[in-house]
Amino acid sequence: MADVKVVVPGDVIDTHTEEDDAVLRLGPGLTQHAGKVSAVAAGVLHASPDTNHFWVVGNKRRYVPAEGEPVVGVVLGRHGEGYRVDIGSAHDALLPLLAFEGATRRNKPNLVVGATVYARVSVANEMMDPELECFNSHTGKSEGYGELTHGFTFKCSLGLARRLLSAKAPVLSALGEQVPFEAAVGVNGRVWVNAGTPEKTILVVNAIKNSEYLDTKQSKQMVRELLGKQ
Amino acid sequence: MVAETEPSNIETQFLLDALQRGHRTDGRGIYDYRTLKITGGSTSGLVTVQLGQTRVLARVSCTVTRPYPDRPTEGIVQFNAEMSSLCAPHVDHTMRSQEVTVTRMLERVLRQSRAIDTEALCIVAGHKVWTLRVDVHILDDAGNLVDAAAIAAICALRRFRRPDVTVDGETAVIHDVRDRNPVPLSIHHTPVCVSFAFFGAGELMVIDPSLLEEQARVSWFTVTLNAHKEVCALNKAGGVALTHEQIKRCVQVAVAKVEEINEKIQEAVNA
Repeated sequence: MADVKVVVPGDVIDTHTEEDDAVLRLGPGLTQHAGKVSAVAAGVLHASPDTNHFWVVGNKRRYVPAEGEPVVGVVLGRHGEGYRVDIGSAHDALLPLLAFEGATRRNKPNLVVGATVYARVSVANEMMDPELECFNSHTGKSEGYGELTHGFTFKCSLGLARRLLSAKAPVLSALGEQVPFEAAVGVNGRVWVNAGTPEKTILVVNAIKNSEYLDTKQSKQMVRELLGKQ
Repeated sequence: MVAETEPSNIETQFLLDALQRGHRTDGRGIYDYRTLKITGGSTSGLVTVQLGQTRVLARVSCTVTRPYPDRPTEGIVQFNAEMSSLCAPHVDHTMRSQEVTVTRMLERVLRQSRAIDTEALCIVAGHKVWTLRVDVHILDDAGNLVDAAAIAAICALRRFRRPDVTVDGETAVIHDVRDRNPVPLSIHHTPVCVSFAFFGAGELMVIDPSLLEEQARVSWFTVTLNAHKEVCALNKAGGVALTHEQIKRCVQVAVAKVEEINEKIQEAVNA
């Protein structure tokens, strides 16, 4: 296995290259100050020497919204022309009433307090509260976004959520071979699962939670054991 | 999100549906405790307890002070529970109610049940007594802080060693720990808390509630027992009324659980 370099905030990174006028690209978790590059996030340092790109991959549980990301949120209340939604970030997000498929002034959605929605972050910057939308604003179609009913939601770390979304998580395919279920993964560390019955749903939820530190072979083994106990 | 939010409708509905079929959301049985792990620290009087994902740290320290005027021959024991933003995203320095609940429970369980022999903490009657301070830091809140904090506090007290004292009339010499071995406290018995949560109209019960179960409960009940199967305290603060039979059943279940928990405590204390 290649040398894994773990950094903590404050560590100075050596980004020296042979080409003097190469452009240095700093990804998330790094900052440049007084000619030195230092880490501001804790995690593993990744480097791509061809493109001179450095970034830190860390795992945490507190979400910082970024535009375009899918999130699972809980409706806190209705606020004028939209809903106030909790997505786990420092500030609650705003979901406009018209940001749903087929919504017009006369045909508005009716979400109750405590409803769960799968939405896309449409606006996220340091100066404003984040905003969400439950449809693709270009096509007007819902594309899977909208209210989630039945099933169960649980919280996981941001790293696991990203792995689940990127289809690099073997646990989902291992489970899918045996148990039919649907899932909606939010990069804010919240996952919705519906497998029909409470027993099956609990099984899927626990399998996903257990798979955080397991590799492919171990995940498959864990799923087999869990299903065997049924 | 700054304020603590209620769980979503899906979560509460699923929890009730699953419980009605005898399942809990984390796959446990109704009467199952989460894995309990007690670790002693590098100094005496420092103990970390892990109950599932809930983590609590207890630290015992002592100083010499004057006694209370109305109790000249008794030492003083103070309890303090603290939560920081480390344990949950909604906690900040203004959220005091959980800390107060845990502190009050510790006071009831350890001080009012006379688990600690305060007369043995007296050095010179009326002038000098030991003041013990039990600080409980909540590192991670995943439900059932009370049970975890109580186990941490009693383990820390039993592992704690105070400096040895020689009394000659009115003068007392407190020996440095390097000169004379520090001595243990006088603990009469080891109380352990067992908490239950109720749902629906009060007919569904679970033991050792997780965070979601705590948020969705309609009633909460804690039984405190010691190893001699004596009930030290029953605590029910608000919520739906419980019947006589439910209380008796809870106490019976608690008796069985206390035996298991006590084994772990003995291991940790004698380690």
